[in-house]
Amino acid sequence: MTTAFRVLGLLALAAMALIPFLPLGAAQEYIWHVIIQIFLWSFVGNAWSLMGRFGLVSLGHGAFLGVGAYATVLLWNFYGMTPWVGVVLAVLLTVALALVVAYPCSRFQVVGHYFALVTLAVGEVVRLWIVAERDWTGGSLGVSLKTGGAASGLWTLQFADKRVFYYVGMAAWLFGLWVWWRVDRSMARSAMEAIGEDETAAASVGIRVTRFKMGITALSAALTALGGALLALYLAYTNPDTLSGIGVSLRIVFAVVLGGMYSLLGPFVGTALTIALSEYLRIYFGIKLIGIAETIYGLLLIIFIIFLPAGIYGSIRDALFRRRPAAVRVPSWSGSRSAPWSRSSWPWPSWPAVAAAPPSSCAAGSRTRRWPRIAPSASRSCRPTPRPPPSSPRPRASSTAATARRSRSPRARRASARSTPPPTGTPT
Amino acid sequence: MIEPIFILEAVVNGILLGGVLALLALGLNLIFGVIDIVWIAYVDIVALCMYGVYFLVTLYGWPLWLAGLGAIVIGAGLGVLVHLLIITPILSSPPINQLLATGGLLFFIQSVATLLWSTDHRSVRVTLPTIEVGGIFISFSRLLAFGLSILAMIALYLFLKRTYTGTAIRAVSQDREAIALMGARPQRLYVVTSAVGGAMAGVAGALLIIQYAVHPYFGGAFGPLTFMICVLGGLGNMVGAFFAAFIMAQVISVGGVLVSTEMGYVIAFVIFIVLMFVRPGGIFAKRG
Repeated sequence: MTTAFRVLGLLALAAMALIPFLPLGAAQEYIWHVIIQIFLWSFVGNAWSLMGRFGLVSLGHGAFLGVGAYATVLLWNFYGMTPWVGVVLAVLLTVALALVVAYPCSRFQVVGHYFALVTLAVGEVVRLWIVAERDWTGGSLGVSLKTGGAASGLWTLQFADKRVFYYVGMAAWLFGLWVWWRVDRSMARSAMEAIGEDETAAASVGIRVTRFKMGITALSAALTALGGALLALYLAYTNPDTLSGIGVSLRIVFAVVLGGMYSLLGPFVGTALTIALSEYLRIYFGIKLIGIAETIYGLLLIIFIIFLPAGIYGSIRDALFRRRPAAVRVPSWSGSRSAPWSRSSWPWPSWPAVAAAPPSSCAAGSRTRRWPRIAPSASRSCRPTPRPPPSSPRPRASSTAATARRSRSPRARRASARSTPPPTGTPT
Repeated sequence: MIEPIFILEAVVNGILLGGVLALLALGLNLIFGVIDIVWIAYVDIVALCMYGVYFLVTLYGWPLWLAGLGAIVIGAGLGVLVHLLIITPILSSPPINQLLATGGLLFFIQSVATLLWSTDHRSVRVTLPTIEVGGIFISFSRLLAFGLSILAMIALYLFLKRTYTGTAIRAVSQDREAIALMGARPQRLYVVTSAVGGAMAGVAGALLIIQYAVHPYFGGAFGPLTFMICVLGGLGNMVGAFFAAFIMAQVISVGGVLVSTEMGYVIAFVIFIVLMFVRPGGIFAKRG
């Protein structure tokens, strides 16, 4: 089964790589354009989900996107600095900004709603700043990338042929997936999940909360800035409203949540659906009914969030591979509630049949949320999914090949957990 | 160099702006404190109420005060509708989904407004005099809005303190499990609270339409600010939100005169971020 999915995945990748050479007729440029946008935005969505899945719900990724995009464009426009250097500087600048925000957030334990609102404010600060510095940035009118003129396309990273950016976008997307996968398989994931559930408990078993939080924030911000820079280079135009601010931040979050925040391909599915839907509605209605596309989009968002809270891809994957009530794994603010052993790292899980999690005594409905800033006391007294003691046997895959391939990671994790106190199984 | 008189004028304008912001924040805060859900789309509902006033005045020729009362009814109706259609199904969902569902409502309202009424800026043209006090010019419409919003806030306060329903609403915000044991129905109280919060949105809409033109993206202009104020005052803390509104309004107003309009907002947001670190439970929270 796993092998079959692997082959399927490789075939899908090959098909994607071949799309630019298909005879698509007059519409080909447009189709490429849509796919490039899907690649780049799902790269950004992936970067967001690196933080979002650990309960660090940021509504300020527009800030990182905007700084990355504007720094790259302005360095080129005013100093003639090649984007090769400009992108690196932009990413460094964004990481610096992210750390300046993340450090106090972590030190003062700003979590949950408060974290979301602080990041929201950061996003607005960056957007308003860009508008205020209109001598440089063109204010609300935005700024266009200066053309490279006679300089070679590789130096200016401007290409007449969209296919170049098609492959750049695809490479970026795959790179984002790879980073996600590395984080997913790392020790950091266990630590971050522990932090997401209960910071105090995590700190008490020796997890360096601040370091891990800042690390994941810096990583997420760096990838987002890279995405912003690539978008700016591709579109050759940046605008504070399309690449910064609340609207963009919310769009990123929506696409990811729509697809599924906790799965590798969730952001891609969500982004592809939202972009395809909005393009379809735009073409279908044209200029007849301005706003209808957005109306349907908003309506679908509400409906999806009410009825498919695990996201489209997440729900489909659950229905196919696991028979567990989706409600249990739905995360709360304080982090993902899913039992770590039951979540696969690669989209094709190798241990399909996991026994249903014990029904939680703490159904989401009865949960009271008060507003202390440390994880709510309710979650401490009853965890939705009690974790087994570390020594309990883990469910194994049916396929021996898969077992051999995958056993490396949990065992390695357990081995390294011996040297440092285990992040899971903390006394409640 | 800016003359002191301008700064004084900015301060006065800030106070007047603060009254309206406080009204916006109070309605949102009421809903948050009781139902425990942040309505991201709250200011967009206010914008819908503003559209309501506009059309009642221009299309149906209602007098402004009657249209304002109509807006309160519209607001209350919208509040109940939003609660029953969107909030009730997600009451037990994780908070991020609640946030995003109301965020989806925000997109929906903005685009429906664009679809139905286009992106034109619309305002009811009332010519109200400008008052001059010692060289400071105060617009009468702002003064009116300030006074009425203070009155609305007092009315809300009396409602919560003096009536039976108000007491029940305050009780449910304190402990939603215990209130059910006391024989009240939280679900029904939620609906009442949404209606009251929506009615506050109607009041705010009626007062804002005499100062500002309404357009589909009006919610984006005031929405983030309203949130900041609620959080700054302490989510669910009415008194805190009231004072936070005036602080933010001062920063925006004076900062806008001293530097530039955008920088006024930037400074306000930066102050918000810093205060979140120093006093995370709101400016009036006990240190803990």
